[in-house]
Amino acid sequence: MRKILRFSQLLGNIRQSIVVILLFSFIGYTVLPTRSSADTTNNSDQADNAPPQKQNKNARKNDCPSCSPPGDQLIYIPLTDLPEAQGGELVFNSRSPKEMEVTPVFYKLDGTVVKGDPVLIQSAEIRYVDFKKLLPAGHRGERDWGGLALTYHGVAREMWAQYRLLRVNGGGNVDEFFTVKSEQRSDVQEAAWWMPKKSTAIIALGNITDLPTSATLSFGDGDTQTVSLAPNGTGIIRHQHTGQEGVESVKINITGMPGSIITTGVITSKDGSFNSVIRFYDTKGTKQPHLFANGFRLADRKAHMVLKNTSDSPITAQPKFIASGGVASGLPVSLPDVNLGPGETTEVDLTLLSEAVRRRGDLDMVSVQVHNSGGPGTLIGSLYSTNNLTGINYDTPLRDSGPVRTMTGSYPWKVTKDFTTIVYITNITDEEAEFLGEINYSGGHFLLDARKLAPGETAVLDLREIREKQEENKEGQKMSKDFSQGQLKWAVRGDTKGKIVLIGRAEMVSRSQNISTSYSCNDPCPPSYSGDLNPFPPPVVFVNNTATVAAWETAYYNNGYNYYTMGPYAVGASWTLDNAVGTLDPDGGHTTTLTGTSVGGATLDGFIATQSDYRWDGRDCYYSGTYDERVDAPVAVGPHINSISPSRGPVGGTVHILIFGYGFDPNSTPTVSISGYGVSVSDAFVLTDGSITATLFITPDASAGNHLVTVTSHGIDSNSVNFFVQVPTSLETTIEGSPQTYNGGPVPGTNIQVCYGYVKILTYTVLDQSTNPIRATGTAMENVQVLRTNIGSQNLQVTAPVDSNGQFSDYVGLCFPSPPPPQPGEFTVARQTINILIGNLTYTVRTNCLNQQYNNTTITNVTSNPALCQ
Amino acid sequence: MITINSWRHANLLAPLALLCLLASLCFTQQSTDELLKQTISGFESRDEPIDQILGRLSKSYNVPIGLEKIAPKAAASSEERRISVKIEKGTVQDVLDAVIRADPRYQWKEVAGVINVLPRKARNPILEIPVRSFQISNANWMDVRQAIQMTAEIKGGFERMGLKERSAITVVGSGNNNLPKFSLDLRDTTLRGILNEILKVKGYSFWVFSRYGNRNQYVSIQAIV
Repeated sequence: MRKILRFSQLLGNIRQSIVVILLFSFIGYTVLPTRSSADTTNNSDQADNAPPQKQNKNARKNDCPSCSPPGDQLIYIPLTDLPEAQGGELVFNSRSPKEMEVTPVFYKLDGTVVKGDPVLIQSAEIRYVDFKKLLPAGHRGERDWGGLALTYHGVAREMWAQYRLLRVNGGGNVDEFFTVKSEQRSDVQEAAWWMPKKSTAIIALGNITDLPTSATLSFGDGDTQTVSLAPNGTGIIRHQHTGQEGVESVKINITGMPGSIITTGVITSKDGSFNSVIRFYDTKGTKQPHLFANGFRLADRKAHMVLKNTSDSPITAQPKFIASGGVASGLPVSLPDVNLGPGETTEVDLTLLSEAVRRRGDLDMVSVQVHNSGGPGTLIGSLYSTNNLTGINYDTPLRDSGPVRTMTGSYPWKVTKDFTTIVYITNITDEEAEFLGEINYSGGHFLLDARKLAPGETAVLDLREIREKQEENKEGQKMSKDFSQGQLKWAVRGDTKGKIVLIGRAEMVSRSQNISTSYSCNDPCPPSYSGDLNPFPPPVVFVNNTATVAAWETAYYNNGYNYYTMGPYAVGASWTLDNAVGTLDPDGGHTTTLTGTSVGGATLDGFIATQSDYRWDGRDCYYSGTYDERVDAPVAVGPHINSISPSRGPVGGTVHILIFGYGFDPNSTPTVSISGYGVSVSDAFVLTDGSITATLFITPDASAGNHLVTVTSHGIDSNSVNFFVQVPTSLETTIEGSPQTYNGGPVPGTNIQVCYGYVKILTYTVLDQSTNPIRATGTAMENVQVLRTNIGSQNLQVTAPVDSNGQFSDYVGLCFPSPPPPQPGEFTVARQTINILIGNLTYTVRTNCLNQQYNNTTITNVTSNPALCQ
Repeated sequence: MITINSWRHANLLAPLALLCLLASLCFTQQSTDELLKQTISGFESRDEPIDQILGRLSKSYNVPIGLEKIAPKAAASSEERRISVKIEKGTVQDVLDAVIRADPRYQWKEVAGVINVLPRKARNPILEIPVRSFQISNANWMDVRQAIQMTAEIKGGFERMGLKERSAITVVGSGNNNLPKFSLDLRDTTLRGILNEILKVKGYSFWVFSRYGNRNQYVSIQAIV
């Protein structure tokens, strides 16, 4: 059957003027989103644990000399509506570090342009939008929709999206994948798929340009159709499959401008029991001949593998199925060679595989490799499966390993209600490969630590399980349980030697919503990695002391004008010192402890990894060798003070101190310094490598409290220890004797020659601001203010010497030089203020209330409230 | 340390040392007028006995003041009259005037370079007993007070008036009061004259003459540094 379809040519000037959004002359931009303000929050969380403090000199953040500046971007799908579908849903997937304004542009089947209202998408936001709600209000009842473009100002792939047609023929959804308009495409698109009986293959061809174009469709059953497309128009071809289940294929030759037509396809059975996508491949753009898939589930599934030889020569395909643990974990299941004649499409017999699945428990989920004897692009294929229990259909992309960006991913995830999202990342090589990533959700991130995958191994990241398990990552984070949707990013790490080593995808399923979607969204290029030391080693590590440092790594997605960062990640490093001033233990690991052994300087180096260097030309990503990711920092090992003795001294005093520690050089003159006002050092002398003598001079007005003593040897400072400058602050009544009565005669120890009365002796100890004794001589001065008396007592001012223990005696009593002695009723009440004199400074340390009666004096400490003494 | 081992040198230096000693013991005399005109700001006293106020004025402004206190009416009472004085800005004389205004039982006058505050009425004659000669050498106040008691004219006066000198020694500090020592050689003077002379010695600034006891039979004489 030959059919020629012509779509409306009624393209007016108005439409043409609207299509100015298609100014996409730029071919390449780096779309490497940078971290948003939300990311900053995440980094702050990290900061508690380990904030990087120093940028490694090897940081490669600015390596993008060829990056294009931001410009107008457009991504496109050819089909948004089908009579068989009950609606459509778009998911925005931002990789931008900032809020993006995205304008949807809707195309009717005939190419008529309807511009939608701009939508603001936040950084790293995943947003699901009903297609109808996205349409301008006046157009929501219309059903002749064709393609959809999303336009924004930025760099290529900074904004991404995926579309799904919902409940096709009452069954499951069918995915549709956006295309970057500015990326290069050839004039050929091919697809091969499996079809159940009584089903239809719906092929949609969208003209992504504003010029007319055309194509010829050649189906595997011999049917050929020619399609002419108006600018921005979409053509839909329905290819019925009325017989038994089987394979089908199509080759689309674009007869208009190469790359002008974007294709997609839908397989739908009449009763909706099997719906899936037809994936088209640009066989001329394929880099290598083999096909790969991962996350292909076999337990309780009915699976179909379809292969097609797109060439004119016979080829042989060798399907191999590898357990998630990799080739070393269990023997891969290799099926017999599949010989394909020129243009032949066949369904691979999976009987042997099914038997192996029943026998072994490790083949419930496998990765797939199909080796091809032909050249790149000569083999295409598809994988489908249906869950025997739920009836859900699964599309597993089977394709070329793809460009470098295949080794990255930015997938939506959702675990609301019965939604599950499982991310599969597979090492498709025979050498170890590594990746790291992060799970983003509104306002937060959970870092996925670097993980090595053995050859053939698949990392299975079940988002619901990760959220529920609440396992801590190496950075001490737990994934928030408050969020149930977001974005998962991952990227290859380490040296790939220029190969494509990892593939990945996410599979989102909801039985209640009849949704089964595979996401393979990539970032444009793997990130570069930069190491940091944190905590940064202190400027000086002291002899016999230690400093612990840790290596951290940040992934920088660089688009030349901003960055999206992931991390910092706790990573391992090989640690070395270039000068034997200390030891490192361990010499490999996330952290190491440096122990200073001798005074001197060195550089601490931590080699983290050899990383692949990728360059971005604005459109494609290229491997360009390797670089060593390492961290380093200068380290000085300095002398260490353990202690000083004495460690305190009074204002106005001279104190000879001994400094004990390590790393003092007896052959050099040490510099001993002390901080703060009023204390100076002289006569420093090294006795041994562990002791120094010095003299401290403390002025009467020296700053009270701690002063830091430091020793400098060979220009490197030691740690500092405190020397406490004591200020007379209070008195302790050490002894209060009983009154001794005198009936004439002298009072011993005084110059009172005749006393009729009594005297008692108190001993006070001068205390500092920390209530420690000030063991130094001085002078106590007392002011006695008579408040009340009936014996003519008057105010006095006297002094008493303070001995080297900080103590002085205070005689308190009442005498008369002649009889009679004090008589009952005779009294004096006086306020006694005791000051300590140092230099010309006076420190009031005590106020007593003296109640002098005829036979005793009661002493009450009223320092806190002298007014109590009246 | 300077060691002098030559008698000749010693003979030359001795008078010089004596002069220095005398100079250090004596006031750098200011005229009474100058003392009274000293500027004062913020002098305030609330409900204090007159001796407290004058003692503080004397100490703070280096004004030699002698106080003859009026004997309390109530025997053995400590309930002295208390007065308040406030001079925000003025002179020593303003303070003295304010004190007298606050307790008009007193008057002040300058006696031989010393401010004497004394009762307007009923002054104690013991302070005015003529003393023909009073000599003491290298003595502190405690010694002088003992010497005063032993002076015949004063001793006789005390006996005639039925008084007894009984000045309390409030013992505080080290017990070694380190009172300044000095020498006096006075002729034709009085007890007031002796006390006023003491205030011309460096270190002493205030004397108080008071009476106490159930019959006011005790006299307290205190010279205060």
